[in-house]
Amino acid sequence: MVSKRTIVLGIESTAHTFGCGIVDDEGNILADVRSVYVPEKGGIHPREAAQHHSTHCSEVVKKALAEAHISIDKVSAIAIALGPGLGPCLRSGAVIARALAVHFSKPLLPVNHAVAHIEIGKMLTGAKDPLIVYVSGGNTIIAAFSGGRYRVFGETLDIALGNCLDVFARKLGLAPPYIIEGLHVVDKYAEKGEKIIDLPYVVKGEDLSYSGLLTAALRKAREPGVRIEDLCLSFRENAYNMLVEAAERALAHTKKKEVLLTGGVGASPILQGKLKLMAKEHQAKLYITPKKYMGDNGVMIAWTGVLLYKSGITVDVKESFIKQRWRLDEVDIPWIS
Amino acid sequence: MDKLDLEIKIEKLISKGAEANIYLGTFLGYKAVFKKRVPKPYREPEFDLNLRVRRTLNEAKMLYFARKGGIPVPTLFYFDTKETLIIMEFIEGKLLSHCIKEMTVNTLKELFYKAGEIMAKLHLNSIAHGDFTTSNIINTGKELVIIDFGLSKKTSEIEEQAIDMHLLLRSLESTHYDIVNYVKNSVVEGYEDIMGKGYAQKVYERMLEIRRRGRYVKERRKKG
Repeated sequence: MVSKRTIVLGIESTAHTFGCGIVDDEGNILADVRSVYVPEKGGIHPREAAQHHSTHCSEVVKKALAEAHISIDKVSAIAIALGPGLGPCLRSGAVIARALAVHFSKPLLPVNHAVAHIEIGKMLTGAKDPLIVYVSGGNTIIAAFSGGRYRVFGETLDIALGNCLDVFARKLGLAPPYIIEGLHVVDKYAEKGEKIIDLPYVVKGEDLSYSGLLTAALRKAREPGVRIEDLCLSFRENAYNMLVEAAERALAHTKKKEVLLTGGVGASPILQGKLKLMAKEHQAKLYITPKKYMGDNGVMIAWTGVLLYKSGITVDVKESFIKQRWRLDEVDIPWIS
Repeated sequence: MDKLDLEIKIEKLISKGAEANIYLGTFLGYKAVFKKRVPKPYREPEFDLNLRVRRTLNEAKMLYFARKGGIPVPTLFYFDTKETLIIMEFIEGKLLSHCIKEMTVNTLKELFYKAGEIMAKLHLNSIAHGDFTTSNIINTGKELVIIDFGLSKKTSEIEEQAIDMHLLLRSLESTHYDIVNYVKNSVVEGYEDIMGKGYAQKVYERMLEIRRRGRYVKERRKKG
């Protein structure tokens, strides 16, 4: 008897990206299609992003199926990121996922977006039991698996690292675009920085606070004689070092031998370098999620869907509410023993 | 001076923490802990030195203030900001985080009640610890001794006090999730009995507010 291959179609729509990924149970990526909402100015406007998702969802899903060379009846289940994220965006993705599940009689798999970032990182890098550093526009979390869940050891008490960098760049008129030649504009300007300007450095246990740093740096920018390059260097040093120190505290505490970096901000080579040095000091190995899958994508949702499906976790369409504030440590992880 | 040199002896490295190496040795005949803040290769050298000097000085000051306030902390013997080194009394005992597994629920309740009391005493002395977790409390068998004042602040701000409460409860939630429901109330009771119910309630509410400020927090939904 030929065992049936599990194929999951995953939909991501928590923030600016509408993504559809198709993955099988061996971790083969059959399709990865994305459509990203880019604001003309400023940051993400949730309603406009949702509008973008609704406009592009059907073409993205169709394209993904074509890319995978399969018809939808070969798909075992539909995975959807129900949270955390921006309400209107989550809703637009949930609508299409529910419709696909109902119309084609497929089970619906409820995926937590943060769990998905971790699971795709583990699958692609081969990390087994890492300390997780998950940094993106909306999240700054230091976590590790213990007792059936990913436990949060440290996190930001206010704004996320990515958000802090982006707002700083935007208010100084350096962005958008936020990324130049593969570097964040703040990293780019910091290259020409020469001296360190004193800015708030706020680590509380393994938690962080970025709002004070942002406010102080923006105020500093208005002072005469302050070079923008020096300010970017100082800002970046504070922002990254705070994160690395919190991760180091968590590493010393948990004694893990692996560190996994995931989430969009993880693409920064400067941050990667710092984390690598830190991990080495503690005889731990740094695993970096491949750049392509650091940011939001449908593949990570599909892969986490595979894990849910194999553990027998599905959600009734009637119960498939979006959860804007669905915390990482609220999710049971039965696939790790 | 030769004599003095002979009387300060570093014997062995006992722990490599996140920001410092901890050595065991003797200081003028007393068993002592040498806490050496080491440079971190991931930080810019200038930035790194500033931070280490600031933390060393801060910790030394806070150990002094805490001792003056009658809070059980290691006695400060000596510190050197150039060497970013602190020498203090060696406390015989086990970290609270390491001895939780072997304790009965009743013993745990007593210990966490005491932890709540110590937190309150620090706050009464205008000290916010800044890293109040089970890894920074030593259980000697007779009492609890609080260590690691590198992130402490001399302040009476309710915000910083609420952060201490948050950090202790969070270390329970992340590391000792199997006992958090038994001992959470003990922490709050110990704190209340020193600070008074009204003030303790305010600190607790501020802690919930701090948690709500985070982006993805359940508590926010309950507001209003």
